[in-house]
This record gives sequence, C-alpha cells and structure tokens, in this order.
Amino acid sequence: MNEKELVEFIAKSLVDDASKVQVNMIESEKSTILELSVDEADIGKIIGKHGRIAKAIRTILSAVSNKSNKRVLLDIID
Amino acid sequence: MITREFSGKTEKEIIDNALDTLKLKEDQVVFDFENKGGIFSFGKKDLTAKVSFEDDLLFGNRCLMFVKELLEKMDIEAKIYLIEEDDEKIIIEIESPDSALIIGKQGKNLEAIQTIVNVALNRNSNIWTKVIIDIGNYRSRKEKMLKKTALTAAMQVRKSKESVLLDPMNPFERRIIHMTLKEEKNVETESEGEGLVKRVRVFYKE
Repeated sequence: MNEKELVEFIAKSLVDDASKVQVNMIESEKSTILELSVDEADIGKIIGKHGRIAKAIRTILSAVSNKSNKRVLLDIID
Repeated sequence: MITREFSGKTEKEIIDNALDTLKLKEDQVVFDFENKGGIFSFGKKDLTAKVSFEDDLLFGNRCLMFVKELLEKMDIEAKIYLIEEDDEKIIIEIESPDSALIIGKQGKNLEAIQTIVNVALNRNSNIWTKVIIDIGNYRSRKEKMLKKTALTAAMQVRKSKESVLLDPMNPFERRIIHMTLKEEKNVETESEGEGLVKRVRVFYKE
C-alpha cells in the first residue's frame, strides 16, 4: 500500500495545476505523516466547503491504513 | 468514435453546451455544423451540430477509469461496471471481496469515495452530473430503508398533527426523504441545522 501515491493521485485529480502537487512522507514507528502541498490557488479545491474534501481524503486514507495498523495523518500545508 | 447531436441558436451556444454536457475541452471534440445559416433559415431555425469524440472520453467511461484507478491506488481488488448513464447521473457498481472496507462504518468510506469522484470529474464543467457509486446493492437497500423512515414519519405526523424530527443525515440521505414526501398529502419537509449533516423535520400541513 502506497499512501503517498494515493494522496498524490487524489490531489492531482482535484487541482488545476497538477505539476505543483507534492507529497512528503514522514514515517515513524507508529504513524506516517503525509504533508500535502499544492499551488496556493488550489488550496480551496483540496479543502472544500466546510472542509468536506479534506475530510473525504482523510477518510479514504484511514480506511486503507486500517489494513496496515498504522496511523496515517494528512497535513495540508498552506 | 461516439457522435451526439446538439442544437442551439448560435454556434457558440452549441459549443458551450456540448462541452459542458460532455465535460470535454474543445480540442477533444469535432464539431460538424449542419444547416449552417442557409437561405431558408431566416435565423429562426435552430442550428444543429454533430459532435464526435473518442469512446474513452465518454463521461461514463472516464468515471469508470477514475474509480478503477482510485481503488487500485487504495490497493483494493474490484470489478467496476457502468450501470446507467445519462446527462444527469452516472451509476457505477463495484464488486469486490473488500466491500466492507469500501463501505465503511455507516457508509462513511463509500461516501468519501463518492465525494472525491464527483468533484474530480465535475469540477471543470458548469453542469453537474451526479456520479453514484453502489456496491452490493448497498445504496438501493439504504434508499428503501430511508423511504420507509420517511413514510412512517409522515404517517405519524398526519395522525398527531405535530412535527417529527428525523435523525441527522447527509445530503444524499436528506434528498431521498424530501423526494419521498414531496407527493405525500398533508406533510411538508424542511432541513434544520448547520453544516453538512442536518436533520429533516416533517411538518403537518392542512
């Protein structure tokens, strides 16, 4: 399971400037932190109204990370 | 190649409407305009255009491809079928040994997947085509249950003439409640609360 690729794929499908999508993975023993950064103009598209999209991305991430018993956290960098 | 017909008053209107409906860019389609301002048209007759594009670009096919890739990236084994396609909605059915994981608690994961799919595929268009993802008849079973809840509440309201407040629901669920009770006598519905998860109140109406 490659969480980094998953987040990259989702983020690129939502933004206008896919070339600015970057995911940085920081792994520790118990958790993985994914730092997602996108073009400034695209941040709203990743977060969505009331944070709806960000929440959906996090839900998908936690669904798949349950498989590996490791916590995966998504940080959206602005 | 797929060809569809569009009509409108002007070429621009046809182009805009076709691109919005098909959710494609101008360089992905070929327009073939007919009765192009003929002598007898007097500007009254609508123009028609045959619009052609590659099969893969059909919106339903793009939805399928996207869901397939998303599930692959989630490391989930699944078969995906296009069940229904028109300009208003696309229904996709997933078949998978991991269906419990795809659905999640109270449909949470399925809802999240559907949110991403809808936004990703509709974001460049002025026309929103709803993409509905079903798995193992989860949605149709849920829809049946919600309709039953709605009709039971309506019955209760008609009897007591007092309003009933339903459990918190997401927009998809609330829509089913509103639609089910639209044609029902003596009741009216309204959503209450803030944010995404609101509650529907069923009122008595003379």
